[in-house]
Amino acid sequence: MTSPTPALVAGHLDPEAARRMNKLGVILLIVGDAFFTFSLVFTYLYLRGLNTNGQWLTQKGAHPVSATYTWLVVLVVAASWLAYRWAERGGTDKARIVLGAGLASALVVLDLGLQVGQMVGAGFTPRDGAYQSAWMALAGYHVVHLLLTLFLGVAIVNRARLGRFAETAWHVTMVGYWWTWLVLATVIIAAATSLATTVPRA
Amino acid sequence: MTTSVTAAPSPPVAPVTAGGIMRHLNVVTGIVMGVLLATATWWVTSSTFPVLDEGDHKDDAVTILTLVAWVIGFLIGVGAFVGPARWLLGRDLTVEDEHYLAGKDAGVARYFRFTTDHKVVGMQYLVTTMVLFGFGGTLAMLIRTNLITPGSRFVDPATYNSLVGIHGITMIIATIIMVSGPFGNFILPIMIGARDMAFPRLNALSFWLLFAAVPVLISSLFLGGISTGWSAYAPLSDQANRGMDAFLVTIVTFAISTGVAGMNITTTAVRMRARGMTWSRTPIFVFGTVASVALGLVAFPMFEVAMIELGMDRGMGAGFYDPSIGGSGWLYANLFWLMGHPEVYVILLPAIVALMEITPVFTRKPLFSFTSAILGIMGIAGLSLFVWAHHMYVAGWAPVLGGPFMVTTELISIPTGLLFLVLLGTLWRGRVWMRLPVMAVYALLWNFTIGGITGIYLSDIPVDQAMHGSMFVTAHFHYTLMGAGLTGAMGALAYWFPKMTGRMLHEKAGAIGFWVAQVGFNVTFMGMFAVGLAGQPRRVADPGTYFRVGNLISSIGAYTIMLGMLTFLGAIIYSWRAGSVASASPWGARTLEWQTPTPVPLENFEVLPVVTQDFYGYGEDGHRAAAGAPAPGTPGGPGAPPPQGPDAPPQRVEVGAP
Repeated sequence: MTSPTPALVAGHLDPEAARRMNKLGVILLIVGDAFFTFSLVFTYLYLRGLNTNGQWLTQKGAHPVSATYTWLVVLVVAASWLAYRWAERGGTDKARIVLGAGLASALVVLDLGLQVGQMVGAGFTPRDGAYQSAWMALAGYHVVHLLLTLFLGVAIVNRARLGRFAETAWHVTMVGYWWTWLVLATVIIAAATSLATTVPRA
Repeated sequence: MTTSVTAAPSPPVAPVTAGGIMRHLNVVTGIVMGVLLATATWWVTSSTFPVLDEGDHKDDAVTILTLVAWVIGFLIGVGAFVGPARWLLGRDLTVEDEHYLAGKDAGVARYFRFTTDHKVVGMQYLVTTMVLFGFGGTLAMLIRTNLITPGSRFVDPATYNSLVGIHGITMIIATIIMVSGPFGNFILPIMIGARDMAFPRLNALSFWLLFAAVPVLISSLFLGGISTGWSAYAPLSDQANRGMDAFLVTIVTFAISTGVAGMNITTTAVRMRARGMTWSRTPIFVFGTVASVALGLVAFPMFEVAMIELGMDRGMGAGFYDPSIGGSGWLYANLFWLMGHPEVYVILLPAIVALMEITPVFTRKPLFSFTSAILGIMGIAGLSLFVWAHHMYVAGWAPVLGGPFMVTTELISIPTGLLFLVLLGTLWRGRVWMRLPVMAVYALLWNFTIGGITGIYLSDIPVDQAMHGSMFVTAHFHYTLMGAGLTGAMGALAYWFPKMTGRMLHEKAGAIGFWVAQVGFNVTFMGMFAVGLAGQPRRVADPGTYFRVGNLISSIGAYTIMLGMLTFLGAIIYSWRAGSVASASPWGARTLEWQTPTPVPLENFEVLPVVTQDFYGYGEDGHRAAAGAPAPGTPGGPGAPPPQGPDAPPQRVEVGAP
């Protein structure tokens, strides 16, 4: 079942074709992830709107997490995105990619620390109610996003260091799409959890 | 149609490194690693997790994490993470590695390891699908045996409920993958003139994720079963036994698999079509499959979220679905049905378009109104996202929205009708070359008419209020998912079997099995309509003597289905092992998968084809020749294999009737 012609396996297409293909693939993955994120946000907003048995943040001692802290988490992610964009705009400049993506990855680590710190210091657990459950799910998913982004960022740094982007840097661009979505998702989550905390008026 | 050539570009220069850990990984190492990691996780979590004050969340947390560890361990052991790890380390796969992963010269062993060749993945999906149907079908026979006579107590009520639940989810998974898995992987890339899928490693990942989910699903049998039915409505599922943990891990794993496959198939179809294959020249099977998997890409994440929230409720005591701390069962119902109704079309669309691919071939007529087919597919895909609440008419959720959802549900019958119209129009006045694949078209038209019309009844709120939760509903969705979906998949298998296995399916045995199953199917579910109309509820182990005759008829029908399916399976196994050798194009079809040799070369085409005409151009008078189609596959005739070998002249393939 083998071909005698030295045709290519799909993984070794010419760079432009591979770039276009990967671009669409990444966008579709982001679409799938976006529906996942929206479902979590829907959960949060729906339970808030429903306020079953008057249990949304109405129990004694229940309080929303700090909005300022939430937007600080967003700010750090946005800064990491800016650093990555700076690297990406450098084309195939090895040093710039290493520096920019490295800084971006470091900021992601910082954001991870902030997000985990917020979860640990929130003063509640998912067992305490619907708000607490929905918030923890959103924060937890942000942590998953950050871990995935960290993997991508470290890989870009390492590959740049090894000179893998000497001729074409489309991998850097693909990861850039994900980084952009990371910021958008973080803003959406932060907006939902900081602007829609108390039960809406009837 | 004429195809011309583009020369294959030279391979890139890349360092060749033999060896590497991936050459030692296969399904056995996957199972070993999965079991080891699961055992370690179970031991650590059992001994360290605290027992919470209320509920039994520790057991659920331990079970969920153990099963997740199995999936991750299995994927590590089978080699799924070698590619990402090497990308991270900057040690990209070489051409030699890619060929190894593609299973070049690996024989049968390539089916038991992380192989990226789309044809191998397609065959893996095919066998897995058949195993799932066998498992789910066996459970169905146990259900019908229990109902054969009132008070039979063949199984106890709790076991009965579990059988219904596990049968349901098994069949849902099997029907979701039954066309887009085997044929979407094996056939679609060749059909569009590509050498492989866009992302071969993700392709293999999607299969092995599914493979890892199967033992998890089966483990639910030993963890107390799935007593809620496959819909797993909350808060019942919050309170169910640990079989529910296995259920939710299965769903999350399967949803990731489906998402990856959906992204991959869509990208392949959009970006890798042969030169000259404009959208208007793209086979209808591609449109339907892409619509299906793209629908899955947006729908399944919602179910995934519902399951993760269920896992948090069960394992951490969270309050998503627990009204006492602010949760709501309606949240689950919405997330579930936001996936649940598009999922019906995720199943149906590939099956219907497979038959649309078949019908022109056996009538030697162009596909009737290609544009209507596209509009029908797009209409169904779009509307299916806005009909979910018709499943919740009696749930008490947003009664004011009942009217709009009734309208959208009834509207969806219009694009569905367009697909009927295309099939009927293609058959109309055709002299049909009556072979097994095209027989499925007639069976589908009959079954889907019944399934579709009863669906319109059920979309009406007053009827639904009377019929909801009855066996009438069960009969309705079996007429759509099995009567239309599985029937279409059987037709597709009969049609593409020669290309996939290199042998012809034993036509007589296959046709006998097919029609026996069809007769049994109609007996079973007509009986079920009758008892449903008479008021028999679903998921009741002993519905009483009043429904005795109808249930007896249904059970006889079910045994008839079993007989037919076993005959069909026998035909498949016999033909696969010892059937007559198939030519490259035994049906004389014009699409590209029939223009390449059988067995299909590793990279599908010696040279990539260029498409210059559409694939359904059999000509206005083509149907006159259909009944006596010139022996397809004969040298120089329709279906002749393209020139092969390095000395072959530039490829010009004349396809179809002159």
